Amino acid sequence: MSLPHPWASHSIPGVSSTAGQTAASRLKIISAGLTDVGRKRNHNEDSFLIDDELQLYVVADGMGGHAGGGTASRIAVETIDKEMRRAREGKDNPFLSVPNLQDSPIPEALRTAVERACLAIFTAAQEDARLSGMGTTVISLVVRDEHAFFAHVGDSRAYLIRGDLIQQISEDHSLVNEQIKAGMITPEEAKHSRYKNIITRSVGFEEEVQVDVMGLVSEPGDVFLLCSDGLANMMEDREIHETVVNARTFEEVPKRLIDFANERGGDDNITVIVVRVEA
Amino acid sequence: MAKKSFTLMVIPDHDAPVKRYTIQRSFLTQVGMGLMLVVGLGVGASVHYFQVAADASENRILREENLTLRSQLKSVRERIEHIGSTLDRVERFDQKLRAVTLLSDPQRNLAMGPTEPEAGTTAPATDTQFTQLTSTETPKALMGRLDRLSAEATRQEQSLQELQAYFQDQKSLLASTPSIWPARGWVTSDFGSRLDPYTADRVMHGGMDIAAPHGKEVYAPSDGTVVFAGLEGGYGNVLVIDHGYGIKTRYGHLSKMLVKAGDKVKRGMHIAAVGNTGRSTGPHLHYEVRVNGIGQNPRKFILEE
Repeated sequence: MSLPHPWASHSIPGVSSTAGQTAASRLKIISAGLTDVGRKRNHNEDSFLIDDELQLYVVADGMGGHAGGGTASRIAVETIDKEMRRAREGKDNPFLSVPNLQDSPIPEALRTAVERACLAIFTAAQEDARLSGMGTTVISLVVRDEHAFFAHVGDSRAYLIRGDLIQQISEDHSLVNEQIKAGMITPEEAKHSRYKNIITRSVGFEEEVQVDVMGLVSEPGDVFLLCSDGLANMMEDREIHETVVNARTFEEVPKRLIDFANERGGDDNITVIVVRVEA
Repeated sequence: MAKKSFTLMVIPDHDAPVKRYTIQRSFLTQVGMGLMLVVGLGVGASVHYFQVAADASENRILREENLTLRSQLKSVRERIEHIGSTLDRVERFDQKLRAVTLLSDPQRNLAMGPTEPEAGTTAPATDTQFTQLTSTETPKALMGRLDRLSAEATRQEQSLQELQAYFQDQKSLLASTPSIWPARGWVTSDFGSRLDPYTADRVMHGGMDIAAPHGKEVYAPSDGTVVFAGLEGGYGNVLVIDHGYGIKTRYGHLSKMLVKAGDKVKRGMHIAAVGNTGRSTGPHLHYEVRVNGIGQNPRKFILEE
């Protein structure tokens, strides 16, 4: 296994386990994250962010050019973190507690942060010809009280693991998913499609991007898993579920998942963040 | 030539002259024949009279019988109509079941005579025995219709037997098929291409909109597991239920969700309340059925009328 990619240096590489700090949070959160170059690629274009203070978690999978992909994903996680922190300091602090899921301003704050990241990546690409055409996927999570919010672009995924259930929360913005929805191919065929790495939306490829936001009420014991397609393409949902549930300690979950994906071939960079809601 | 004649003498007791009447024989013959003719006519007339009288009494009986038969015919006709419409309903139900099971039925492609009542047959008969046949339908036509109905019934029976055999293997699939209305209300927008209520562009509407008051109950249309309960962009509060066999249903714009991800639901269970959250122009339920990720017309699965 190789070392975490240098572009991920801003984020916290390796394992992190910190209790949620903010007084308003009633539920304790523990998290762990790890990234790996995989077996086929020679550099890692994934970046991830674990910010336990904000309870903000981001996985970004960059694309485009030799240097572009890693740059795009790094700018994405940095900008999202910076924007969320700035929003917290501003007069409309979205992190204030609200009783109802649908009244929370966090989804809009998260959407704005991803849109700003998009503009930042696009601007950086305009300024440097070597970075031209770069972009990145983003899957981001904010846990606030008993609420969890996601903002999502591309084919990096968020899963909810609750008891026997594992459910993909985000819907992939990928060509094969569009084909499935149009009835052109079956989900089984999609797994072997030549086009499964083609995404239909990306952060930074254009000036603006349409961001999907989701939110749900979390329960004690819930595990949220964020990952790049390097994991999702190598493992079935059921296998991910088994690995998470059967891990001896929560901290080793990312490592075990990455090892599993590498045993299967490690076709792409693999990044995993797991976040557990404690009672 | 001797005159053949009789003399009739009338001799009174008193001293009055004797009256004599001379009667010709031929006259007597004529009188005799006349008498016989009169008697014959009288007998003939009385015989005829008795015959007519007998006919009249029989006619009364026949009249009554005729009325009875007529009313029986009417009720038979009504019953045939009833059977016809029942068979129609059975056939529609059968077609829905087949849509649900995706069983094909090659026999269904055959053209069948109409089983609906034809115009005029339902006109009520008046109660006088002189009424003309009130319908265009003669008993012969009724027979034809009966033949068609019985052929149709036989085919229905075969079809339903086939379905039953199928369902015995597929009990759990049937429980998993979203076969009841998730909410009671007006369908304001069906599955298919429509004008976007926000932008007026022609777009594909991947579900069905059921307008209902804010807070109206939403029921699970079949057994399954809740896989998502939360906010999702334009859907607002949305529930996603996985029914297995690749079937998922989605419920958008909810005001309240009574179940959470991981919960098991049964058909008919109260799971949520209609609302106006997300990209919505008024309280309604946005209902979607997806099979292996592909949006399907929810009506295809609903068995209730």
